Amino acid sequence: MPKMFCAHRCFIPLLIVLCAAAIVSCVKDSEKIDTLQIGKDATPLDSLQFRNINFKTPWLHQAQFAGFYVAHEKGFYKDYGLNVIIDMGGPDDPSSEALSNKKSDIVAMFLSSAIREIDQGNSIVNIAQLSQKSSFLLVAKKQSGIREIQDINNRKVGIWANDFKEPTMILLNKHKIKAEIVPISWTTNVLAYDVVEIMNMMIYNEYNVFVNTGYDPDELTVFPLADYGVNIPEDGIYCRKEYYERNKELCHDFAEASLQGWIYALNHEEETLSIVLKYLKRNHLPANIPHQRWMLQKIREAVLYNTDNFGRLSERDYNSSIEMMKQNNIIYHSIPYKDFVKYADSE
Amino acid sequence: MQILNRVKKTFAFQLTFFIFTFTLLIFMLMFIVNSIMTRRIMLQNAEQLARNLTWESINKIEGILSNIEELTDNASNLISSGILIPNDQKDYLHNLINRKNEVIAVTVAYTPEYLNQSRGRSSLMYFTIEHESYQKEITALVNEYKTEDWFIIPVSRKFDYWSEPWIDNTLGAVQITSYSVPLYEGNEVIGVVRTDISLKVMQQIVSSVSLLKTGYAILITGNGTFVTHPADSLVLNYTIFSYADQLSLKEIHAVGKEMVKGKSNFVKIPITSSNDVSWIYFAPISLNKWSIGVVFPEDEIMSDLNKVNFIFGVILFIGLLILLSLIYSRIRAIIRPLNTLVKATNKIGGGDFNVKLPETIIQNEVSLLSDSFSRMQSELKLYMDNLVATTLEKDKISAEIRFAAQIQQRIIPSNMNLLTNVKEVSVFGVLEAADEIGGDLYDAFMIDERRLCLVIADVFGKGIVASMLMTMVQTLIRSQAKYSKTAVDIVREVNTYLCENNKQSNFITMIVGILDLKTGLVEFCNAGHTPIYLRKSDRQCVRYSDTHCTALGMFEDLKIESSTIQLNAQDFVILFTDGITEAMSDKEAFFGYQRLEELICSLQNPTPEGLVKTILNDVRSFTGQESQTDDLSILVLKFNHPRS
Repeated sequence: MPKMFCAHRCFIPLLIVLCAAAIVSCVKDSEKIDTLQIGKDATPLDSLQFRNINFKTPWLHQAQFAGFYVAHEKGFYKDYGLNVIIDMGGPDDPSSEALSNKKSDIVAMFLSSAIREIDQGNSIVNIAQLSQKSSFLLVAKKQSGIREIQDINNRKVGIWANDFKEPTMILLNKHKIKAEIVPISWTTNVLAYDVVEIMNMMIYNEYNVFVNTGYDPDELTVFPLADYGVNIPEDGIYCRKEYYERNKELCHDFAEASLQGWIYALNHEEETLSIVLKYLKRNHLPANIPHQRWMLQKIREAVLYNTDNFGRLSERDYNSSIEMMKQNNIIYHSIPYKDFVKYADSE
Repeated sequence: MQILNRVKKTFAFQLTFFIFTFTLLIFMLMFIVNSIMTRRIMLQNAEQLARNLTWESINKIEGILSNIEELTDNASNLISSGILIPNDQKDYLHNLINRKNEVIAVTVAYTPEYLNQSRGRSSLMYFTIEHESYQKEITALVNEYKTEDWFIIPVSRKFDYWSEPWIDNTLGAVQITSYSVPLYEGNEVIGVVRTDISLKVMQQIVSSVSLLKTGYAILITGNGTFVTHPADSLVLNYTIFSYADQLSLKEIHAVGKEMVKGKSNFVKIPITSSNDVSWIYFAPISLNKWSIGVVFPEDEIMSDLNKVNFIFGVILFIGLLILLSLIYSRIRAIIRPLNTLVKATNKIGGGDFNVKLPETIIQNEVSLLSDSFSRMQSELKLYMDNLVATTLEKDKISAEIRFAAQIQQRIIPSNMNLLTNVKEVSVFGVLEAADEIGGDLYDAFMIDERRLCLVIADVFGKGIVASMLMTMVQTLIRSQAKYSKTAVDIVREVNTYLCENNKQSNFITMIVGILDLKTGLVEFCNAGHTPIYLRKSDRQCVRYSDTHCTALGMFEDLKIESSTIQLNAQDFVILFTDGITEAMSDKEAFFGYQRLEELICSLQNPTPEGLVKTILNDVRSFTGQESQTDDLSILVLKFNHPRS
């Protein structure tokens, strides 16, 4: 009986998510996805006890994590009997660290960070994948003379000092570019003041920030890493392997509720923005509406890039990422795809 | 509507309308020019005001910044030159903080390379906790600051650097901007001296600026971030570019570009909430490359102008209305005599010459016109009186002429009783005068038992003189015929009489014929008259064109002869005046002898009356609509048979 109950509980919400994914797969970027009846088939609340989850985002609250806020605010987590506390990370508080020191049960983090965690011996599993395409860019001012990828040779390249440096390093190695690497912080002023001639940015964040300091897009040379053979998708949902083993249902419920949140978020831009702004204001973070809108739209592009794999990390993306990171000596150890991803239907 | 149309056509309306329109145009032009000029001046004044406010704020801020720069540069120089040894550094820098209220922290931060080389040196931060007098000193961690803008930019670029606003967690949640100066060892940059000031220092200066009612000042950083703006949500959150993006206003984006490039300008920017516009004057703070702009809505500058314009417009409107009514009433007053004059003229036209004309007190064109009209009225009255008298006289003459015509008509023998008792002949005659009274004459009468006298005559000229002459001649012939044996005698008598009594020298053409009823012989004398036609019983027509003398009344010693015609039974003798043959058609052709002959010959078994009427009808149809210019006379005698 418990097994049947489990199968029933897992199957129906999964079906909803798959249907939603199918609908999402049929739409263009700016089109609306048909309204979903979220949570209709979720487990009735009275049959469950709420289960607590400490979830941490890898960065400060922003539209990059809109789906999680929406799942929380619209009650999707509750529908699954989950009591989720969303905690924000930050430059000095990476979510990977929170996971390894067990401060968080489940976190969102970049695939490259997750692979690095595995390499460092931390057993973590991917229970859902949001980003299907790398949002990494290298951005230079055109006046610096950088127009082609090879123009980066012998230039000063600003790369974030603390994290997320792998994709850019892989790109430079892949194209055999010799350049001076300058570790930088999170602002774009180093590019504005020519401390570096080109720097890494996320299309949904720093790029728009930089454009909004008075640089028109046509004044910039932009190299999207995915277009130059380095497509390591970013945000996925992770937990420790031992946690997963103990709480499989919980993890799958969280993943499914979060994906429903994401579908809703991508479907309702204005409502989602207002939810994001609520999170920003609650945490006394600057609430720049146009920027959050831009971010949501760019995240949407990344999430819906490969709609066949909505919510999942493809084996091909995983393997190519592992391979690129190994080739560049960023990692030395890895685990097979099936040990890395833990989806409800793959069990 | 009709009344309105009538009013529209009046002189007063048209002149008033013209003056009103033209005055209105001039006033409108003045109004527009005045508005434009005033607007320009007010805008210039507002620009000057905004410029002053902007530069006042810039000067205040630059005063503070330059102090900070000086202190920091001094510290940097002292440290770089080795004068300020590490042991004294703490006191010196704490003093610096004490001396300047604006300074909340000073940091001496070395590069990782320098720290590795120089054991014992460490990066230190000195600061004061707000509202507390005690000062702290901590070691700054190189791994934390080495990528920070305030460090990496001046170290890499070897220049002084004012940072964008940021929060140093060591100092709490206070928003600061930092001034960093490189520290040198030789030519090598070994670190920076950083001085922090709270953004509040600048925010207070800029946010206190106000202009007009809602004008305000903004302060933006080198990358366009709002440091001061009336909308708190924008401060340290939006750049001017993201703000422009949110409002979809390219103009604000363009202003932002100029501001971050360190330019100054005065430009118009739109306001999204309405169609109104604002103006902004902006200028750079040269020390930190930030920019201050003073913004004010255009309608606030123009509100005074709009008030003035409104008052001006109301005065103009009322003034024009008063002007309009004054002009209208004045013109009406001026031309009122004209209206009276028009009425008087109408009465005069109706025949009332005694109507009183308006009297004008003021001497002007209207009074001159009235005077002229008065003179015309009196002359017209005189003329009309004369005309009445003349007309009366003319009527009298006309009546007399009509009477004379009646007399003349009576003298001409009537066909009803024209020789009706003489069986041997049938006679019919007609005389149609061109005027009321004619100058033609025909007559047929028995001289005695055997002889019949035929006369046709045409007095030269027409009218009363001709008529009277004709009457006299007829009376003379009738009276003389008894004493005359031949036609020549009668003609001579007439000539003699005319020559003696005809002082106007009127002359007469005439045919006198004497028919012997027994023999049918006609002796006739043609004195310059038209020919005689003889229509034989076999319809042959003979024309007797010979004249026996000239017209009568010109020459006393006139040689007069005569001819004879033997009439047979059923012969017709046709006498006529030149009014017949010289009757003119509308194509100016004469009726002529040929046509007359053919007409006479064409009739079968005519009677004299039938022949006369045929000829007359034919002449009338020939002349058509042409009015009769000469008297028409025809006398036809048919010789039925000789007297037995």
